[in-house]
Amino acid sequence: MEHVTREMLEQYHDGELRGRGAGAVESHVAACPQCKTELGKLGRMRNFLVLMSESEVADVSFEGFASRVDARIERERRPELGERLSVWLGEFFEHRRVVWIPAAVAVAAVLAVVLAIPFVSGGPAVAPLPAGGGIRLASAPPAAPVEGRTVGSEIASVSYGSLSGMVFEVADGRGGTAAVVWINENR
Amino acid sequence: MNKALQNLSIPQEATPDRKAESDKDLELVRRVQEGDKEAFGQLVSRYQRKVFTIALGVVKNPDDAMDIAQDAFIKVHRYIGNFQGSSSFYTWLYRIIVNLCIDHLRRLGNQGTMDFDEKIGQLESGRDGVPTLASGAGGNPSRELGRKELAKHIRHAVDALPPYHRAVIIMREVEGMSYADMAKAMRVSKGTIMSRLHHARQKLQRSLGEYLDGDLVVK
Ligand SMILES: [Zn+2]
Repeated sequence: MEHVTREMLEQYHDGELRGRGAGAVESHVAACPQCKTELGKLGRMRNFLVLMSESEVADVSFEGFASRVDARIERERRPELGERLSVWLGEFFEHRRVVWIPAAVAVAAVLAVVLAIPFVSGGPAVAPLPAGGGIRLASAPPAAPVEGRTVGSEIASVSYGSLSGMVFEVADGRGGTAAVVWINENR
Repeated sequence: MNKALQNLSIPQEATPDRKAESDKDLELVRRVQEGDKEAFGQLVSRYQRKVFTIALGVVKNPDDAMDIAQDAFIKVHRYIGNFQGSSSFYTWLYRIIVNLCIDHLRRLGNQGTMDFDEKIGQLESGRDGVPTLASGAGGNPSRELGRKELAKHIRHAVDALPPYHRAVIIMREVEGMSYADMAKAMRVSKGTIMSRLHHARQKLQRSLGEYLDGDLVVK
């Protein structure tokens, strides 16, 4: 009796033989104890590998895995973005493109300027920081109310003379993110 | 006798719901590309265990495998904008994980005395010594084994395979990947995949010897 080739046997075992090829292996194996034994070994080898893998992975906990990944993504992203926005905010102050609202209007004399700066498309221009400007990166989310928006993490804060500002990342309601700049006058 | 280990080989075809899974992946990928953080979390939880399983299969050390699994998702996040959907998400992900594993082993290899590629070359050409489990104390393997003990023996045999062979045998037999998907994930031809699988199996068969004969009792 002509045995099926080892190659065909493996392809059959792997589910890679279709139609007549698979039929030929099946009818041969049904009649040939030797090839049946070989096919059985392939099956047991698979079971061994699955058993090994299951026994090694079974006790491994993935609790907190996703948040560790998230934390690393945030760490990698933040400095670059923070730096870009801080520099931009410094420039913003320097040119006094600020609209004021009296201190009494908001709790902390804050004006929220919502600037739709898509973080992906180039972002704000990079300019040298103004003299006296300081940058602080912070991670705590602010307790600042912006109607209809969820305020996200603070990306950067900048101070310039009597002004200070913070940049937050927020959801823009269209599935993207936008930068929100809070400007305070420190009196 | 353990029934699972007694079974004859049953062809493992792509499961019918793989298409549905793949569509779900693409939907999640699209949402991640639009900045949806929750969708990214879902991709992570769908694949964390699989990614870890492959990494552990290749690099052996659980801590290293966990680090590599994290690195893989960081890369996914970084490059997901480039993912066009011309292949399925998981072949793209598995390509990332296999590359990370190989890089990791290459770094380890460089610390040793032999060049990694040289080592791979030797192993691929079959000049390596194959450890045989059956050649223990008395020459006869125990006919009764606990699952943990058996798992250790199998691990020992798998560790003796070259890294690329470990990757294909785990992707094929544990993850059930097709030749075509493995070829995409490893950027080689289907012929190369078949050849690696064949050599991996031959070595495992020699290593595992009589355990594969079928009268082993697993407790
Ligand atoms: Zn035969």
